[in-house]
Amino acid sequence: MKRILVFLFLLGFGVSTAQAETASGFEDGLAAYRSGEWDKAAAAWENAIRSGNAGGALLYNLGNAYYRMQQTGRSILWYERAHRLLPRDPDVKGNLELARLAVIDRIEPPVRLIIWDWIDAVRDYLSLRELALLFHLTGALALVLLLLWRFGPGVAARSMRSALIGALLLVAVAGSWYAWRAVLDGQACGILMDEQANVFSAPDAVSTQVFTLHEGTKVRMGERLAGWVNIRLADGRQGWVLSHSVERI
Amino acid sequence: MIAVLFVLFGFAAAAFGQYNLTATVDRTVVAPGESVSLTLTFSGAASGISDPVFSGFENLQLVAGPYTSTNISIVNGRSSMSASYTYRLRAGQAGTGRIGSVKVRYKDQEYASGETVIRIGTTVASAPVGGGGGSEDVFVRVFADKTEAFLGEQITLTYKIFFAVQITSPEIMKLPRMAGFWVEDYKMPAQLALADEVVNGRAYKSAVFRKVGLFPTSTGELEIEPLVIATKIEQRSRRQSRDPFDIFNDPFFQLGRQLAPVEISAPGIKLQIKPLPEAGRPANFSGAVGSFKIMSAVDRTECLTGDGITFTVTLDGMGSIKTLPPPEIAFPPDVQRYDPEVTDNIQRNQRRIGGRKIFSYVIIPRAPGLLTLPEISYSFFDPERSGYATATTPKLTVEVKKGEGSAAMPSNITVASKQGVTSIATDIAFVKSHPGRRIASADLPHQRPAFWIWAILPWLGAVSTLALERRWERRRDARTDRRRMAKLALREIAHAEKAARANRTDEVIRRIAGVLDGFVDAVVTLTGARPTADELRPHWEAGGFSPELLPRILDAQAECDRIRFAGGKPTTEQARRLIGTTAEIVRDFARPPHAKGSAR
Repeated sequence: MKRILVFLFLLGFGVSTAQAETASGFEDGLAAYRSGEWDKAAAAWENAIRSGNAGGALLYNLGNAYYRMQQTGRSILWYERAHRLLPRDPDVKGNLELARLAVIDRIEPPVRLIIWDWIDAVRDYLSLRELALLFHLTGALALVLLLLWRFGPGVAARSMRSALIGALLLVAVAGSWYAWRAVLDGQACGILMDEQANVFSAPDAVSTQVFTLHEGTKVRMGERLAGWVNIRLADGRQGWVLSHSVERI
Repeated sequence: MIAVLFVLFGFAAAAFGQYNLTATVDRTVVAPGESVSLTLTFSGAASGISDPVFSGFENLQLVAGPYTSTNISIVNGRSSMSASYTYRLRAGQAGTGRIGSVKVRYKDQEYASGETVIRIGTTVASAPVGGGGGSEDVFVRVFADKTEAFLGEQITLTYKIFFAVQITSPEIMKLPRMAGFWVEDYKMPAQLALADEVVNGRAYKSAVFRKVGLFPTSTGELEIEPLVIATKIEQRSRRQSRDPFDIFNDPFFQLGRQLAPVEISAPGIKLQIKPLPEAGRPANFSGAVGSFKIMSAVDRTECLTGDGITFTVTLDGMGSIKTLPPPEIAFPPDVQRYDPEVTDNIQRNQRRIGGRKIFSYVIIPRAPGLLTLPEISYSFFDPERSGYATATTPKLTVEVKKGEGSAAMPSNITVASKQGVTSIATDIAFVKSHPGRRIASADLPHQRPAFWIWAILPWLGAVSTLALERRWERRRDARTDRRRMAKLALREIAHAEKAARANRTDEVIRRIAGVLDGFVDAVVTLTGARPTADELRPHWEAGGFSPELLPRILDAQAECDRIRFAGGKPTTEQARRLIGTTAEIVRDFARPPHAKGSAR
């Protein structure tokens, strides 16, 4: 028993130390950014991320630092990561759009009905973590209603039952929304880091080169093989590129 | 058939009476010993002309001819006929060669040409002139009208090709890189004008094929690289044998001309560019070089607030129009103005490059009153006078009346005429100062066990609750009701004790009876049976009640009945005994069955 307590204490301590480290790294980076030392700010923030507990604000700040250093690829990468955590934040969305203006490649996605855009907007409204929380809360709500229904003193059974069914539906909705978003977040998407990357038809530099991509382009990543990775563009074209040219979001 | 046509045309021409004999030479300047070809053209008829008769040659020798040809052409419905006779002459010594007038006879009419003079120069074997690739036959020279100039002053470069043999039109192969200059090309006529010149004692034909105006943009010694052109030279044999039979070998008579391609380069030129002098430089000098006039105009002298008027400023003169800096104009503060529209009109066919540069500003006055467009002064450096000068325009005024929209407003309200907020620039949003909520790990939530634990928990809770509920249902009959009954029974016994103390023994008995009946009632309620002792027993046991309680209850009940129905007041002792027995039974009843020992 005592050992468990000691362990928990140490764990809590460790967590709070990590949090303190992150906080100081955040502040250091902020000070460096304000005085225009972008590279120092970026280094401080990357350190803070490495020590764990990176919130959306930290990822967004790192994107800003790389944007100021005119590293388009990295800035888009961090903005995308921040966007996953803060899907509604207007600063993140605005800066991501501005950073994308610097990308050279223009890839036309296939035309689709505007209703799909609306559906996507709904799907992206909550972040994955927020959806997990929602899922758990609806489950708890259903449980509470169940207990009230079975053991509640003098509560109308019928309305309780309908309330319970409603709660179960909410759980189902929350669960499927989570799954839908999880599929999206689970897809390996990456950003090109190299100023110019040659894409080949096979994981081999002597095969045919099919197209060239530039820094900052977003691609979907697939199979990996011998230092190469298969990528797919929004317009459906695909090819192989060296793994270190693409970094996963 | 054709003969008939000839005759008809002949008559037609005769009807007009236009006959003419002209003598032309292909070159008017030749070197001694070189050939000249003389062409006599009789226009108006093609046949029936007598042979030409020469009056004489001076310093020239007839070598070959005549070679006749006739020409009939119909242009725009008008026909013309001519006959030509071509002779080859050889020039004699240096000096002048003369061809006397030539006579022909046609239809009993005599026609004569004029005298032709040819200049014969001296031959000197000269070194190749004019850069690499050229030879004494063909070369290119470049002339600059000045080799020293101020920054921005125009220098005119003329490229001339000199040729003593037949060549094709020159094509520029390599344009010289004119670093440090703004270049304006002069317009060249479609057909290059040829001139006759003598260079180093030799006769050449020359043609200007390129003329550029250079405006230096940096100071110091600047070099213009050589220009390279390509052309084709007619191959000529240099044999000057006097053998009359050699005329058959003369290339003039060959059916095909042999053309050899050559590349000739014009020499480069070094130019010295001086910076503009500091002395006398006006404060508002912005770099214009040349000589200019400035004019300003406005399209309306009266307007309403909110109307757009066009203010035009024109710079007119000589210089590099395209690179002229715009004039500085101090617009009054309460007008809205837009960037000017700039138009360049460049004249390229005068001696110096020049033209006009027109700046058109659209301005919208916002407040009523007298709008003054200020005078504009434009300073420039005039290289011809080596000094600065300033041109100015006068002030212009425009009367601005209050526009329609604001007339209806009462005068003590300030109404601003609204304008959109124009974005000056776009930039990314600033960093966030607060770290905000942190995330524990980079994994997706469903990849961590905590997620599934929290998800399963409600279901586990629900399932276990439902399962337990059922068990509780069953135990309720045996346990919850038992305690409840025991509680009520003990309460009755408490009342009975109180009654006993108050010596209300009837009450005691009555209450005890009630408790005891309660047991039977319990059985009855719970098992739905009608009690007799024997009937009761199996039900009692089936109800999960302890079997050894039943006889005690029945005995106590019997005792109770006896006392009740015996008549008279029960004794205190009886009452107390009954209380004790019943209380014991109740306590034993309340205790769970498994806590009991074996049956008594």
